[in-house]
Amino acid sequence: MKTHQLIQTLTGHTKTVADTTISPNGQTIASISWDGTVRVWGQDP
Amino acid sequence: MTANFRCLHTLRGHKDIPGFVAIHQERSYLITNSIDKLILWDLNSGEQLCTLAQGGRPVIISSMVKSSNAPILACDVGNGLIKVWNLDTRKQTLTFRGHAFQIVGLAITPDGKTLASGSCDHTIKVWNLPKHREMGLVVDPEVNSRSIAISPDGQTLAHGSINELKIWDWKTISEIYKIDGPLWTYAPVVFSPDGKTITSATTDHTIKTWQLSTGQVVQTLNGHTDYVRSLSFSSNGQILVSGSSDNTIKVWT
Repeated sequence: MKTHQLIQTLTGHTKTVADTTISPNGQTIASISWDGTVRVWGQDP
Repeated sequence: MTANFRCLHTLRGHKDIPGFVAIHQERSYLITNSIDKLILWDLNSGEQLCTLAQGGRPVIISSMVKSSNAPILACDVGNGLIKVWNLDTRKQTLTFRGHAFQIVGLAITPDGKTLASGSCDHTIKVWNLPKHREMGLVVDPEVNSRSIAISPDGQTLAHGSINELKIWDWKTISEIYKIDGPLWTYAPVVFSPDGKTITSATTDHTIKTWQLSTGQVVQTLNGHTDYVRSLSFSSNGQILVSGSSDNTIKVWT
């Protein structure tokens, strides 16, 4: 069975991260925060 | 395995309390909502494409789901009404009454055909979405239906309730088993893409994974220092992403 371990912590939001999602291909993460912003996170090639 | 995510876009457009975020990978859509607005963005450019819903009368979206394959978005818009949008045409395709009272949790299968809705009327309904026909009903006075998940094959339903996670075969309306959390009130619940495990968050800020066939804990992830509010897997199950009240997002592989 697949087990996971922490590999990265994304910082930048200044308040609670209300929701997150990762694209099915694992390349993009999106987040929305109580700080009023939406952030899009991508992987360096 | 390494990951090197960095922030590509910081988008502003929501002024009210933010709710949910979804990605439609094939169409490069990003969908976000605040308490009164639903915005469709281009994921790559960060350009705002349109506002799907807003107006004089607030659209209170307490839950939002999108299927990973079909360009469908379903939302609760208050008072038990479910609205469905086709993201390509940007039109509402369906509005139907799901529950007598407010819906607080929605889940959808990857093919976009089966929708589960949980309400503060203590019921969870399972819908055939193309036909908007009710196919199943689970009644549980302890339902905390904000935490709701449906297995990728659409057969199994999971929901958080007070202190525990309940797993249902909704076709026979039989409870398969309960898992002791303790889960926190707004804990997210997700099935792994292979449907074999279920992952949720506990009151002590950890992320726990249970094997579906046995109900046993198979993994506990420590790291967040406040409540975990969201969990999502890449389609191969290799990457798990969590968002927290500690203001951070963590990437687990």
